[in-house]
Amino acid sequence: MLEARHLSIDFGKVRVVDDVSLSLPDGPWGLGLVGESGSGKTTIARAILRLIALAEGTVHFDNVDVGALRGSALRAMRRRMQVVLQDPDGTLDPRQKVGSAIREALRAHRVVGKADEDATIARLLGEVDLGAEIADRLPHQLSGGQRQRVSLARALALEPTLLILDEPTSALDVSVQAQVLELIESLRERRQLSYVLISHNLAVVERLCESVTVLYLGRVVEEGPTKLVLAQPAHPYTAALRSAVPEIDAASSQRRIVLPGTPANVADPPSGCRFHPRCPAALERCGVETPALVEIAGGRSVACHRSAEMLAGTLDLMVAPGSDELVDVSGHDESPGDEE
Amino acid sequence: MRHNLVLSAGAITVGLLVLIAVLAPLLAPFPGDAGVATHPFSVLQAPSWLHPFGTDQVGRDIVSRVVYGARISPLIAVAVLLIATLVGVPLGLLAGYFGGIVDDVIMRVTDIFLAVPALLLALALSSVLSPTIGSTIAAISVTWWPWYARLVRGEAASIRGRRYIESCQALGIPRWRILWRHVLPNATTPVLVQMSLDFGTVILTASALSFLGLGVQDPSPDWGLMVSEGQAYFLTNWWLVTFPGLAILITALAFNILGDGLRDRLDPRHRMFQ
Amino acid sequence: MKLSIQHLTLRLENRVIVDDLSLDVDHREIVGLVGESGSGKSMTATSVLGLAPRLGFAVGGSITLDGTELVGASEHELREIRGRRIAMIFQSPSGAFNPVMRVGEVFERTLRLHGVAGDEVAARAARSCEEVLLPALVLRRYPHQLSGGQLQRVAIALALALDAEVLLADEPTSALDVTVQAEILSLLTTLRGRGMAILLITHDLGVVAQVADRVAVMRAGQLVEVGPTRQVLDHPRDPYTQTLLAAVPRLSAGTGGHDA
Repeated sequence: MLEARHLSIDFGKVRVVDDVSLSLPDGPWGLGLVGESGSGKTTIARAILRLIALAEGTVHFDNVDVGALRGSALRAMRRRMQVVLQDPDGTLDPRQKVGSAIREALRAHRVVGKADEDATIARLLGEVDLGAEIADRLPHQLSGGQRQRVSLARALALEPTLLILDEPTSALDVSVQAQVLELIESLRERRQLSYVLISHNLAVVERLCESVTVLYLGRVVEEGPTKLVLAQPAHPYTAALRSAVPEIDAASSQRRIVLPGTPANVADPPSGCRFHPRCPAALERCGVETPALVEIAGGRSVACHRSAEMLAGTLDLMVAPGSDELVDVSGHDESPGDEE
Repeated sequence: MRHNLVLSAGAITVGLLVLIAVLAPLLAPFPGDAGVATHPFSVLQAPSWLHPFGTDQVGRDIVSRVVYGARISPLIAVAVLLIATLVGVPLGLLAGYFGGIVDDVIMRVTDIFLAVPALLLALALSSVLSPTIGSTIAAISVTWWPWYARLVRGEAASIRGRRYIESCQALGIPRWRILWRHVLPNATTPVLVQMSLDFGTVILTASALSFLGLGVQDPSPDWGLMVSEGQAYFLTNWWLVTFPGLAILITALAFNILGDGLRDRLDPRHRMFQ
Repeated sequence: MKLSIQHLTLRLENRVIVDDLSLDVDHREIVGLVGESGSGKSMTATSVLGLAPRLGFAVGGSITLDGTELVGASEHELREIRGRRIAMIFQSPSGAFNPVMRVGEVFERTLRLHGVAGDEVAARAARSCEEVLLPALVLRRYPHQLSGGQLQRVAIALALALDAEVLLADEPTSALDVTVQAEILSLLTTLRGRGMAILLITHDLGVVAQVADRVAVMRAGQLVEVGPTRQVLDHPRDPYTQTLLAAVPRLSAGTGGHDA
């Protein structure tokens, strides 16, 4: 359904995304896009939606080259591929009533006739478990969870087949997060929806996505079926990410891999493997030779010189954290909500 | 709470001014003196019960003239600001939203206008055109619109980067609609505030032009003109200059305070302790 | 008992924000205060520092530090305590640092303010930076030149340099990447080892599971459950705690490959 090949994106002179490929097969399918700040995940989403330009690479949606579309063809594509961006800043115009925002989306594509608009809006709100009276409210009168759902309703108004969800649960309270996750699951069933779920939360990705792509500093480090990747990481970064997730169950609170340093600046990336300065298993080779993304068993790919050892379980990643090298990172490792 | 007090003081004063201007014929003891009139036997009389502000060099009652003057200055200010916004706002919107060439071209044009000191430009224009209230308005408008264009351009550019605009784009909403429905309303708050702040300044500029003889002409009871004509008599007959001068000061101050209060009211309100 | 909060009540106009809260934090202990937004957990920390009245709250109850009463204490007394004996770190570390001052200057001023002798200042600053695994060089940087994680560590270093006895940490890792969060949390355990009493406020149960010795759950201003971490997380008694735990998405167990 979605084929993004060799995407590279530049912000000015800086290549923030380097040769990233993603794919989603047909039929309801969830792809998780995982990474921390600086990984480029949100940027990739924007590029797929054609909100920003690609420096290199192509995006094919249902076998049509998205980059070549213009005018009404582009608009038609937008109907089928929608996005729910992260909310803290406001994906909703603060001056616009929520119902009016949904109506605007409906009208832009003439989804229903004017007479049916109100009924449709009420139905959409109901689908996301919101009462019809919400239509008259302004965004600031709603809670974070409600705003998130309104954005979802608006995206669904266009009846897309692919939904891109950017950190759908990050700014929400724990109990609300659970509700939103359930909502996404039920929408998937009801509407046969596929989605690209961007998140730094591995548990959410595990629950909702069949496949996952792990990004670090603009490059893919590992990808494959979610269960496999998380159970047996082939890349030290994936293992560290997984280990870093603070878990509630006693069984899993064992020694954690603590990564030294902070993610380097994407404007001045390390040579060779971008992860090598922080990697507990780095060899000299890693700083010199960039590992290529190679296919391994199980429909997975990984970019690491030592992936074989990772999979065999012979790699020790527990290294005492050393002192930081001070790189100019300027507020770089703050997660959800930041531009990447 | 202090802010509200300030805003109220400004608002009340402005309200009073509007009232005075509207009711001028009723309030002025000698309405005729606002126009062509000469009373050779009452020239240069000091303030008294009959003439609380005294009389000027041709015997006209100054109270009446000041009261009628309240019609002129605000009229000029309203006209100037209207033109400035009608020209500046759309240009600023286009420049801010589209960026690139459009932005460059529009901004260079505004730069040209901004490079010349406002008063000088107004002076130059006035001296070319015959001095009337119309030319005063024209001259000041020409120098004023670039500020609004700049202001709106900044706002539009900043709004353009906001998530909800991006959402609209992702939804496939047409550009013109985004501009009209989403960018414009959010960009106009600072414009409103700026307008009330500018009110006072425009009045002062118009007064300056009159003072220099290039704006409104006698017998019009424009305050700046009155100050100009009265300055020759200042040392002996202080009242010719003082009362119109005070009128200018109070008006400009009132609008300024109103603008300040408005700004405080409209902006941080949303950021109050929740 | 190092820090003892007894029957704390905070009222803002007519609303009760914190209702009869009692909680103790001892030396060498990390107590996690968990709740969702609006539960009153942040305000609890703010009131420990005596800042609640300034924000318009009416404070009832008692908060004692080693027996000294903080509620109603004079500004003078409180100022001696803030920073020096009770330190606080926030979700957004950049808020604590003046953007136009080098981080080292803030250190210097704060240390001097609290009576540390001039020559000792540099030594202490350098030492605490080492303890948080940052090179002393960091002191010469401006806040915007440091990442969120680094700034947070500097904030912790400051608390260390002042030899604070109590640390109030309000969502210290919420704004940070998960891998960086792990470092900060491990730093907190180091501080605990040094003898500090730490009150860790968070909405993240995972964080609490990882470092807290005891956990207190707040809901709408009230304490609904408190106890040793493992006990509360494995056998929650209060229904709210149970709902909260049920709502957290869990990673499945089985992580082969990195525990060599």
